[in-house]
Amino acid sequence: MASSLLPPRIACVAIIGKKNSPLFLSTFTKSRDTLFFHFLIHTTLDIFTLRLPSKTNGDSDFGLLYAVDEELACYGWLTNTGIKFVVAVENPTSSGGEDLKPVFRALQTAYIRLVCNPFFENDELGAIKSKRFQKEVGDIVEGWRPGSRGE
Amino acid sequence: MSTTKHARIGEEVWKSRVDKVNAELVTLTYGSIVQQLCKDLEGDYTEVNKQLDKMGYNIGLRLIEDFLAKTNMGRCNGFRDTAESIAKIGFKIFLNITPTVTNWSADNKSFSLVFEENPLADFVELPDDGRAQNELWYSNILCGVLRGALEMVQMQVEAHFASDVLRGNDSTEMRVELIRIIDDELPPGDE
Repeated sequence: MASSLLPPRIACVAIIGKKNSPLFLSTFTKSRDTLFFHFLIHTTLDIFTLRLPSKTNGDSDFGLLYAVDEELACYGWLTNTGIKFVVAVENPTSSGGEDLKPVFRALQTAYIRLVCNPFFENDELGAIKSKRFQKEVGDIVEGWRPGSRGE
Repeated sequence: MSTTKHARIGEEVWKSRVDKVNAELVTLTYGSIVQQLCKDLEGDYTEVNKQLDKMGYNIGLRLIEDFLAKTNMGRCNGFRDTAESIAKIGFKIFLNITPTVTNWSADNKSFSLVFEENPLADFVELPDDGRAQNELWYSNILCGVLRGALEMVQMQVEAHFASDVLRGNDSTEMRVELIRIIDDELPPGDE
């Protein structure tokens, strides 16, 4: 299949709040529209809920949530405060989950910087509008090189 | 005193005679003060600047005593010496930063402090309401601190920010101007 020759790419980054409200969603692909990703991310929520009781190792990484087809897979990360980070990858490889760890860590750092801003209203009502955060997420996505384990 | 000597004193005092506190604690505490002021004053940023300056002034009045006690500094040798002391010793021991002293006016009465980093403003992104970017000087408390501290050592100065990276400027710059040296006046009413 031709698409499997393409390198893995992050297609979408989403953040979901404690009460499952969408806080942030940004897409980085033109092959599908944003609405598709809204649905996609929405469906991952069930998997978080489902897997949570059996998750005992204590870290935030939920690994592969599910693959839509060979071209798209969702990976997740849940913090102890209930914030969920979901990354959708195009043309995923089998080791994709491991490769994404630095991405999730960087996303979490960016998110911490965001909520530490004294003017940030952490009420889960509105979506994240911060331009700086948007840019940081963009940089993380651009800078991702699958296969590298560095920070 | 030479500038390297200032730097050395600053370094020494910072290492041996200063109690350290977690940086995020300071940043977040200051952040909530500014945020609360903005809320209480209903977004009147000019007034927020004024209040921050006033708070800083009251801090400065006290802080200078601590500064003098820790550094054992004597009198400064002119305003240039004062500027170096503020940048290399004052900011060093209280915030562990060393702003650059630059842009002296021809009459040596005003200078700029350019801040490479500003621990007060870590994490901060000004509210996107179209006004904060033009009206709020987020770190204005520092102006007040300098004004208060220098007043206690017979220097009346005027300090204000000229630019701030938070507003999208290239650098954070504070302008400090010496208004006059306060003479030791006789107590009023004492004829």
